[in-house]
Amino acid sequence: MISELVTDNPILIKHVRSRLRRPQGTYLVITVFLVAACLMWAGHLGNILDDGPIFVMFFAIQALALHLAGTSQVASSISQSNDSGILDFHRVSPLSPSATAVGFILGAPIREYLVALLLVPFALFCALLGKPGLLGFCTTGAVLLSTTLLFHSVAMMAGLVAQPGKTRGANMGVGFLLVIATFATGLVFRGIPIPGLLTAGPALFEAMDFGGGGFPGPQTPTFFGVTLPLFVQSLIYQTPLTLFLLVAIVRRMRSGQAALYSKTTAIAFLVTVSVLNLGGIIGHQNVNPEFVVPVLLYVNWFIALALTLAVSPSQGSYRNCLRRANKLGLHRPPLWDDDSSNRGVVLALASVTFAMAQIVQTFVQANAGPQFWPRVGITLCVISYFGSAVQFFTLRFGRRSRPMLFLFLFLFWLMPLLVGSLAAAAFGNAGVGPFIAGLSPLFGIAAGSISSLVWSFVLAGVFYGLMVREERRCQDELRNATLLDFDAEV
Amino acid sequence: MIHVEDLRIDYDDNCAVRDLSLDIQDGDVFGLIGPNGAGKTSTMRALVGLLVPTYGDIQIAGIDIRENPQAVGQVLGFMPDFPPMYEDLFVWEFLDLFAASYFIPKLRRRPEIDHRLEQVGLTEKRRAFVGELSRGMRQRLMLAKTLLPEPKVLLLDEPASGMDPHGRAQMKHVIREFAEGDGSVLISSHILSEMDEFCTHIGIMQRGEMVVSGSVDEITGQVMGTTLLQIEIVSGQRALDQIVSQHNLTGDPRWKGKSCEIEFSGDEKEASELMALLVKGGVRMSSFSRKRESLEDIFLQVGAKELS
Repeated sequence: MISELVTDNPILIKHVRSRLRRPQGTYLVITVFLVAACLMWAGHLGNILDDGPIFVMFFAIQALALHLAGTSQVASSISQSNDSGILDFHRVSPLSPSATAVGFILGAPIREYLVALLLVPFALFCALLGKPGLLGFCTTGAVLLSTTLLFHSVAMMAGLVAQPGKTRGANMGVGFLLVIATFATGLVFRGIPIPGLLTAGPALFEAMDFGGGGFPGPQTPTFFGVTLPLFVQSLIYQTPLTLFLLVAIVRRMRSGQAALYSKTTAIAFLVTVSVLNLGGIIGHQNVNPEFVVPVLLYVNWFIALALTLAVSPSQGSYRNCLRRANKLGLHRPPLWDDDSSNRGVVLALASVTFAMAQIVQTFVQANAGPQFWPRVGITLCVISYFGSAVQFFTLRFGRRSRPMLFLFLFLFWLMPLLVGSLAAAAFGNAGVGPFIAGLSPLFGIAAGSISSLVWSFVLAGVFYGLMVREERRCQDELRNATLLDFDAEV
Repeated sequence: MIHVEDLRIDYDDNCAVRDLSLDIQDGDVFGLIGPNGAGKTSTMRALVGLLVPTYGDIQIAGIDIRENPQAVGQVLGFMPDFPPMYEDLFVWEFLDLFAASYFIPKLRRRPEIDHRLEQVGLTEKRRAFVGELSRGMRQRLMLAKTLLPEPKVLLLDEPASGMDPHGRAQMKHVIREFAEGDGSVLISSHILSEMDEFCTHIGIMQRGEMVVSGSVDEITGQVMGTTLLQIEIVSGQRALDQIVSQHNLTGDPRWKGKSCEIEFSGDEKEASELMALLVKGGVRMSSFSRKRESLEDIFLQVGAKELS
C-alpha cells in the first residue's frame, strides 16, 4: 500500500522524471545552495545567526516555495491533465484513485519540495545555534508540511473542478483564499481559530516567541478550554480539513462526473468545521460574543454554501437519477442518492448550523445579545434559500444556470449593499441605508435585524416553492417521455 | 467477454444510447459502425467506466464495472481517437509510467516495454520525447501502451486515424494476433473498408440504438437478403443449371462465358454443401466463391447516410 502510494507511485515518478531532469535540476540545486550560502554569510557578518532572523528567512523561502510556487504547480499540473484527458487513462487503470491523487499532490511540486529540502540543513543549523532550537525547528517544520498539504489539496480540488480551459480562474481563486487565510492569522487571537490556524504563521510566532513572552496568555487560543501549543492546534485544525479535501479529490479521481461529496460526507464536513469552531470559543477566556458569533455564523454559512454547490446535482444528473428510480419502480429517488435533489442535505446543513448556534448560546449565554437569534435565523434562512435557488436554477436552466445564479447573487446580495451604502450617504443616519443593506446576508447576518430576517424567510419560502415545482416538472416530463417510449414500442 | 444489457446513456434531454444490449465473445472482433452522434463513443466510454450510464449492466470478462472498476481496468485496454499524452516524457518513460500503473513488476517492465515498442515499430524512438512524435507515431505508442498490461479486451476508438499505411498494416496484424489469442476487440471506426478486413462481427448504431448486430455473414444475409456466388467452370454447364434450378436457396444463374453469378440466400455451410453437390453432379469448377458485401454497402443499405 505504502509503495503504491509513495515509493513506487507511477504518477510521482513521472513528475520526478519530468520536473527534475538533469540540466534544470542541477541549476536549481546550485542556485538554492548559493542563496543559502549568501544568507548564512550575511548572518555570520551581522552576528545574527543564532537570533532567529536567518532561520525565519529560510522558513519564509521554504513557505514561499511550497505555498505559492508549489500550490500553483499542483493546480496547473492537475488542470492540464484534466483538460488534456490523460487523467482518464489514470482513471481506467487499476491504480487506485488515492494513489493517483497522492502522485499529483506530492509529485507536481517536486521541484519546490526539493528547494525546501535543500534548505533544511541550513535552517537546522541556525535553529540549533539559538532560536528556535530543535523543538521549534521540528514544530514549525511539521506545521509547514501540514499547511503545504492543505494548500496543495485546495489547489488540487480547484484544478479538478475547474471547467476545461478556465483553469486560470481556479488558480486565482486558490491564491485569493491563501491571501485571506494569511491575513486572517490575527483572528486566531480573537477566538476565531479558522482560518488563522490554517496557516503556518501562529506556529512560527510561537516558536520564535514573537509575542515577547505572550504565550500562553489571555489572547492565546485554546481548544475546548485546554491551552495547547499553537502548533498542535494548527495540526488539529488542518488535518481534518485536509482529509475532507482528499475525500473530494479521490472521488473526482475515481470519476470525473462524480459530485465532490456524497450528501452524508458534506454533512460530516460541516459538523467537523462546527466542532473545530466551537473548540476555539468554548472555554476561551477572551471571547467577545458581539464579534465572535457573527464571524462563526459567516464561517458556517460560507462552508454550507460551498458544500451545497458541491452536492447539488446538475439537471442531467437529476434527470438520470429520476430515470434510474423509474426503472427500479421507485416513486422518487432516494433522498441521499448523490444525484437526487439537494433539499435533504440543505435541511441537514441548516440543522447543523442551528445546533452549533444552540451550543454557542449555551456557552456564552450571558453575553449572546438580543440579536443572537435573529442572526441565527437569517443564517438558516439564507442557507435554505441559497440551496433551493441553486437547485431551482440548475433544474430550470440546465447548463445556463450559472449566469442565472450569478445574476441572482448580484441582485439579492450585492445590490442591497450598494443601494444601502448610497442611501446611507444620501439620507444620513436615518436607518434607511442599514435597512436596505440588511436585505443582503453579507451585511444582514452581522446586523441581525428583523427586517432582514423576514426578507430571508420570504425568500426561503419562495425558492423552496420554485424548487419543488421544478422537481415536479422534471418528474412529469420524464413520465410523459416514458409513456411516449412505451407507445412507440407498442 | 463483453456483456452489455439494457444500457442507456443520457446527456440532459438527449438520449445518446437507448437500451443497448451487446455480447462479444472471446476471439471476436466487433466493429461498431455508425454516423457521427450515433452513440459509439458514449458506449465506449461507458464500457471503460469513464461515463456513468443512466442505467444498464456492463460486464467485462465477467466483472461488473460498477462493482469493481479497478479489476476491470486490469483486463481492459482502451485507446481513444485523440490520445492525450505527457509530452515531457521520453517514449520509454511514458510506457514505464503505465507499466507501473498496471502493476507490472519492476524487473519485467523493461523487456515488456522493449517488446511492445518493437511490436508497433517504435524501437528507434525509445529515447525520443513524446512531444516530438508525429500523430501516427503517437497512435502507435498509444497502441503499445494499450497492449502493455496484456489485456483480455481491447476497446479501440478510431485506432488507425493518422497512421501511415505501414502503421495501419502493423495495427491490423496486432489486432488479428490479439483476437487469435482469444482476446475480444471492440473497434469503432469510420474507415469501413479497413474494418471489413478483420471484423468478425459488426453492429450498426443510429441515433443511440443498435439497428443490427451479429456476425458479418448474418448481417449480410439479414440486410442484403442474398449473397452472390461467383463460379467459373471448365465443363458441366448443363449439370450446373439443373442442380441450381432444383436447389431451393439459389436464384437463376447469369452466365458470362464460362463464369456465372448466382444469388444465394444460404450461409457458408450451405454454400459448401452446394459446392459438394456440384462436384458430385459432375461440374468441373476452376473457381467457387461467395462475394462478400462490403461493410460500406451494408452500412448504406441500413440507411446511415451521414458517414463522415
